[in-house]
Amino acid sequence: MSHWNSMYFQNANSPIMEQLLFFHDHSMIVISSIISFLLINLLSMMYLNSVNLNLNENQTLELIWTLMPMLLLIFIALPSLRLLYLMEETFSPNLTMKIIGHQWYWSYEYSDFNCSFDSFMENSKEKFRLIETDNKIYIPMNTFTRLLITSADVIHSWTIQSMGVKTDAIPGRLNQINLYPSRPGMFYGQCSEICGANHSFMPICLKISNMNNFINFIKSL
Amino acid sequence: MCSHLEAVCWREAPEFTSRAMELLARAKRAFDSIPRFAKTGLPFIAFVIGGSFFLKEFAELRYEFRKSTSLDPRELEAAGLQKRDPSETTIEAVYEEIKNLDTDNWENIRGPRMHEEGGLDTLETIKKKAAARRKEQEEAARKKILDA
Repeated sequence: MSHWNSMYFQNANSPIMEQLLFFHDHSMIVISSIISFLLINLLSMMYLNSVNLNLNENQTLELIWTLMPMLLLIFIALPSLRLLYLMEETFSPNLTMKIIGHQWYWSYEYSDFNCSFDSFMENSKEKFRLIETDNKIYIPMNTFTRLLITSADVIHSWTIQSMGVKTDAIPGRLNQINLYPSRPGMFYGQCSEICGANHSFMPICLKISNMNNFINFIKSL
Repeated sequence: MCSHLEAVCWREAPEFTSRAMELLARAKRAFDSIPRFAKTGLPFIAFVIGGSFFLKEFAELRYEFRKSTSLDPRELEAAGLQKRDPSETTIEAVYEEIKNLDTDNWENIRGPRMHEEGGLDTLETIKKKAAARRKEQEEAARKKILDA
């Protein structure tokens, strides 16, 4: 979960999120290099008087400043496209979960076991504020899980930041996303699409555990 | 001072060398007459195909000791759980379930918000509505089974 004063992303909890973090860092390196280069050039032009008034044409220079941005864009676009398609990929899921957004709670259904429940915000002073729910979802660790997300009224968005998942729940439409949690723990998220007066009060609480705990949880439903 | 054996070697050496050279020349001629494809293409193909079998031994390890777990049907059965057939939980199958969801008739609850006065009543209202909705769905499902 995100902490007070955290300046960076939350720790990655799925291979996709790890890749997203790498991509972010990679893009930032490229962007900072461009900005530094431009700043140095700008300042040197401002403070130096060595201006070549007789420079009318320079084919090599033009070739370089045409090719450089092209190459830089390729270096950013290719990993970005790779990630984009990787996020959409389905790897023969082992577990399927149907998620329905309502004003203002989430309904979950473990489609493989025909069991479902609603999840409301927990309003208790002992719990984390605005992110705890009364019924939590369980998913086994290191298991390919398919999430099928839709809504029963307005558009919502189901999000777990540390897993790199953010999918809109759109009425009349079913969106699919994959989850592959790589470590156990509690993971939190909130509705990420303004959906009405109580939009801030429909959190998501996800518990990642081992297979035995998951089976016990399903049995208890 | 030469021994008998040494003498024989000296005598026989030129003949032996010429015979060996002739043998080598014959082998070279035979090798030259082999088509180029058989000399370079076939070994290359054999290397690639054979290499994949060789690498298989190592590639297998990552499947044998992989981290990802799966729902073991025997484990589920032992726990008294029945997993639906995977074909029933595909995106197409689930869409068939949700396409009849009534998304047009919903009441917009305007508040008060949770932190405002009476906000907790809103939460209770939502919970009651959700319970009513769930009951309705269960009844519809029961009716569907009875009709079938």
